[in-house]
Amino acid sequence: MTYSALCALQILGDDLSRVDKDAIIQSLKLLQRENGCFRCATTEEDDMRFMYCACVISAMLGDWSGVNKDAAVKYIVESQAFDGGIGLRIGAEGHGGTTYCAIASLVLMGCLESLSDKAGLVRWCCNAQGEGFVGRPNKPPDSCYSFWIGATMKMLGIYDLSNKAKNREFNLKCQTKYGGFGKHPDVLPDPLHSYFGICGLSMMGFDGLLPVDPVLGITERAAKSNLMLKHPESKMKE
Amino acid sequence: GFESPGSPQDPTGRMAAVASQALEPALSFPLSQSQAWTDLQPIPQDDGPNPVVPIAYSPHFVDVMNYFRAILKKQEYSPRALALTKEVIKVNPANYTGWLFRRECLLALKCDLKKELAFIDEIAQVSSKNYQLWHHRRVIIQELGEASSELKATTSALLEDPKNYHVWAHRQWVLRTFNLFDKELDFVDVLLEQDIRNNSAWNQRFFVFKNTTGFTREVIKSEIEYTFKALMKTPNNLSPWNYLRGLIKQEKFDMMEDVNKGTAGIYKKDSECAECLAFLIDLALEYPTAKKLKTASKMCENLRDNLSKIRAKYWDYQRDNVEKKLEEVEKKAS
Repeated sequence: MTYSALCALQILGDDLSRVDKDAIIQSLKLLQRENGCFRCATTEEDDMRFMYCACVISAMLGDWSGVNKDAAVKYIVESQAFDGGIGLRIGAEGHGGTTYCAIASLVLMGCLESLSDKAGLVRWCCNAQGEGFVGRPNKPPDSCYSFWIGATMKMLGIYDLSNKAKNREFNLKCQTKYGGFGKHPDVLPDPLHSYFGICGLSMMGFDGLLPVDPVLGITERAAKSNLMLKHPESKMKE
Repeated sequence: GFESPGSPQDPTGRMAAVASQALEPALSFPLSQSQAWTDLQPIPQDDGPNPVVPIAYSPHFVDVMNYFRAILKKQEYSPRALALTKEVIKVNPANYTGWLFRRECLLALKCDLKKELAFIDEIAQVSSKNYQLWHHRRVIIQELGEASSELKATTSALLEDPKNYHVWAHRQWVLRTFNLFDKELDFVDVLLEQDIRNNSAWNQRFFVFKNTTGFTREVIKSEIEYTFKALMKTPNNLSPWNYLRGLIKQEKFDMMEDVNKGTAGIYKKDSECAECLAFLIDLALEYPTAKKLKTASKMCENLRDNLSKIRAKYWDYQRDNVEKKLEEVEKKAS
């Protein structure tokens, strides 16, 4: 929620001066577990989603004192599955959404090179290309992965290896007569798939959409106003 | 009474049925007109002075949540509060505050947590892809200190929905926490029998070995055999090819002969199998010889132009990698 709220403020052009940054950063300290991963609240579960939230929050507020980066990076590296993808937790199946969260977190921490199986991740992402992107091997394509996998590929510098024409065609098929996008063609639209379907289309470069910052999941326009958002160069070295 | 079955919040009527079996007091809605709630001042949601995208909540939702906010403010752990959390969860199964307060009530009132599992089972019928539900279940199991019900519960959930990520995550936690790996490979076999392309099942296989014997030489050797048996059935199945890649990466791997033999067998069966060619290319890059790399380069072209056109750009990229490696190899040789 904190992550979403900060993004919303960012998008609305707020300078975050009225945000109690110290309180948020201090709370991150309470939410990080010994194994390096983050909970969403002290009573709730920890997993890769909240790793990402903690990293974006720290980046947006320009203060990493709430995050033990070494422990966080170690957790992410250990979460890479044997097939190159990254799961919700250590041992979990590689999944598009959690792979995104993991890679974006590494980029924000400036530690993308810590990944132990880069070639595997590249292969895993490229294998996700079907008629549209899939979230896991042998699953049907889903419009939201046009963002999760697409943005991951952008961060890895391999986005051009995707099939933009096919992906665009698929996303547009997911657009409904009511407006909005569903996960597959011929299902009802929902906000999540609409948001990520449009972000996915933006990355493909078609349709006159504003460019999206793949690391933050908001437009470059929204990210620009925050001078603290200087995350390290994301391109992976050959 | 409750919303009648067939309402948007409860299309099958299952939620209403669950509530009627509850030990918590039956609630009479709207609470604003119930005698049992007159002592409480309902608290409306604070949407601020100019709500931008106000949600069109139903009157029932507003009623339930107004009283829930009042209960939260009062921190009242009581049978009626417990009953209310059930309704809060019913109207929005993702409301983590509802689940959390329910847990606090259950513990404060010293409820029978085993009965709570039955409630979770019922909600899972309508909302199984739900982080909050599975976290709630995990905490209940942690409180109970034993997980005898959990293999059965996750088994039936997975037989119905074999790739449910939440259920797999819960099952992995149960296995690790209570050391219940004993028959897990048999379970994986059942799922792969059902669907040999089930990527979650292949992942689970790896998980079992990693958390029990580790990848000993014996394990690697027999798993290679297992994998090629599966590939013979479905050669163009990415999951076992990935599993094989995982085996090769293990420290004690030294059976390249078995892998080469197995892969040659698949290639012989289907020389147009894209995943087989992809694997051979990866092998050529990992264990390069000029001969293998030259073959790999042609395979990249075949994949790019014929067998896997949708990933044409990736095959060009792989071909570049192969050509670069070939240059290196030939330079070393000269």
